[in-house]
Amino acid sequence: MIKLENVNKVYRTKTIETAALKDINFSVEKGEFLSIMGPSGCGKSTLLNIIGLLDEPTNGIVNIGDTSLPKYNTRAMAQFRNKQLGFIFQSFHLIPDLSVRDNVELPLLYRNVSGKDRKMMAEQALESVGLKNRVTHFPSQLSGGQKQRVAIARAIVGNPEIILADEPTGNLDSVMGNEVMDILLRLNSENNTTIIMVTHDENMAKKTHKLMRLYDGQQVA
Amino acid sequence: MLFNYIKLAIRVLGRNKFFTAISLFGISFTLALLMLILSMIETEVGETPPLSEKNKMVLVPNLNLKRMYYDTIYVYDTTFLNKKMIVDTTFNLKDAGSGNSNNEFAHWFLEEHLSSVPNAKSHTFFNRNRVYNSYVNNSKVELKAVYTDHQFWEVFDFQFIEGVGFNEQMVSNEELVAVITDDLADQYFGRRSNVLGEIVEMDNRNFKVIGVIKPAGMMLLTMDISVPYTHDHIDLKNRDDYGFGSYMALYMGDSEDAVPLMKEDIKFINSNSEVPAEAQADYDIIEFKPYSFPETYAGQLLDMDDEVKSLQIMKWVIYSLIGFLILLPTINLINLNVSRIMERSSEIGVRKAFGADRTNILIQFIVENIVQTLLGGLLGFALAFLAIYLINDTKLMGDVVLKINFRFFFYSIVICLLFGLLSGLLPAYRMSKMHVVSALKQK
Repeated sequence: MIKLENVNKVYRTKTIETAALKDINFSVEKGEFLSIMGPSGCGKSTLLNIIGLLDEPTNGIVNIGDTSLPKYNTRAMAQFRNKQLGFIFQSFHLIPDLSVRDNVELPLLYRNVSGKDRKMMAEQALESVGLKNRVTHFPSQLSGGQKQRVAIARAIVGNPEIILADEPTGNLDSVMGNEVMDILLRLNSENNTTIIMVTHDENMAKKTHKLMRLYDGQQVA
Repeated sequence: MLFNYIKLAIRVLGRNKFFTAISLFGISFTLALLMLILSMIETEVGETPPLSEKNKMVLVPNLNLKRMYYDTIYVYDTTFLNKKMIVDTTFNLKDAGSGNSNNEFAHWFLEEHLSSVPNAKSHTFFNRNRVYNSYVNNSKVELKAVYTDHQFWEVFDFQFIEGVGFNEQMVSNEELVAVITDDLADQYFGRRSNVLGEIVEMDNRNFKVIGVIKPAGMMLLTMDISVPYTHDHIDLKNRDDYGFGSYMALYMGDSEDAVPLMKEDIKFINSNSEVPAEAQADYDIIEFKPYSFPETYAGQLLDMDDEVKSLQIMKWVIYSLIGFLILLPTINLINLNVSRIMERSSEIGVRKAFGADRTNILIQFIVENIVQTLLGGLLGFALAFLAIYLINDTKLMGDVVLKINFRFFFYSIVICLLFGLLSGLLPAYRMSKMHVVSALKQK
């Protein structure tokens, strides 16, 4: 499903060259739940951004699904992300000016789904994270756990095959964190959605199928 | 999608009320000012009564008599030829200045030289320079008078409230008839209509009112009363003043295409005219130039002799004025927008992550900005209406009445959209270029 071969990422400034990722090789099969762990600054998020096609590797090959990937930063790439990938961020990144439903509708906005269908699909997604009664609320009216559940609804509304979660429980207390984790596990088991999650939390990582550890941009386990 | 953008735009405006108030104030003020300028231009230059057909008209406003002075410069040169010195003399003629007299025409001069212009369908000669005082119930009423012929009422489409203009017979019979404005009727008789047959006293004569018109509301045709030119004893038959007087000539053709033809006719007449006999001792060049209406306005406004050139200059002045008026607040708004959009970089990151491409982002922010500008435009309309109402009500611009019409609305909306597009484009472009990862990092 996802395969990375010899992926390197180097950040260059005028004076300094920093290798954020060194020779990363791994693959994830469809329906797998992989967690990536490691200390701050070890390249976890960079790796996730590369898998999510938000960032480009300096060299190496990234394969997702059977399709050969279009060039980075093109319209085709945006469409690919739109259809195949769902993102969950540590700080939720909900749009404060949009209602819960409008936030969830966002990915559908960029694939010409009619307003009526958008509304229906968004409400379905919200129902599956247990927030159906919050559709007209605004993000500022929600708790952290609720915000992250809205973000999950947004990630799954377009039925992507892969969900990429960057420390989804990082900003939540353990109760809310567990709630969010349960939803992700359920998505994985019920819908067979492939999930890659970056986390600091060993307990969360233990619940997933596979674990990858990074240290200084290198794979250590 | 568009609906979503508009919904979001309104929500964003509501979020930061202070910012919105400031930028709306700037936008509405600028737009109101532009609308006011538009209205002024429309009033003076637009094709509204009594100048609905001004695009078919040519004006010959004045007569110019000139004399050029030349200096003769002698050059002495000596050469030796066969051991004799020979003096050789050459001379050059050089411009040394000119004498110049410029004024409106005497009526007889127009009759003699400019009463037949082949390509003109109709013409009128009119004098709008006389002002008289009249007394009604012991209070002074100032009368701005126009002396003219019957064609005046054909060429200009004045709006008559009642009655008619004077006809050819009335003019030639020197009948004491007058057309007055409803403002004068109000001042003189205390009512704006039902004054036909009443008497207005001017220049020690009693004129019978035969028509009441609405004021022209523009500088060129500002007047209170109009009477047959045959009563203008100051100007008529006065032949010893070189052809100068108080009259202008106006010609109307069948269509716009006749304007250049009429101008050619008048230039041809000019080239075949001689300086009036009485003036030949002082002047040797005679000049009267035909102008289209836009050229006339430019000439009046800039007070230059060459109206064609002043039209070009005035166009540039107006364009750059409007340009600056748009540009300065635009730059300001761009600045505000950039900082405001920056706050929303995480939103842009999310949108891009979920599949928005650059065009989506660009359109979103431009739509938002246009919504904001149109809102400002609406306020601007209100401000402009208020300003125009106050200017007209207090007669701040004299007898000029500012007008609002469909074209004014159309141009105003165009200006709003242009303003919105200009001020939104740059910030939107910058944000659309932003890299997803860095957009998401900014908080």
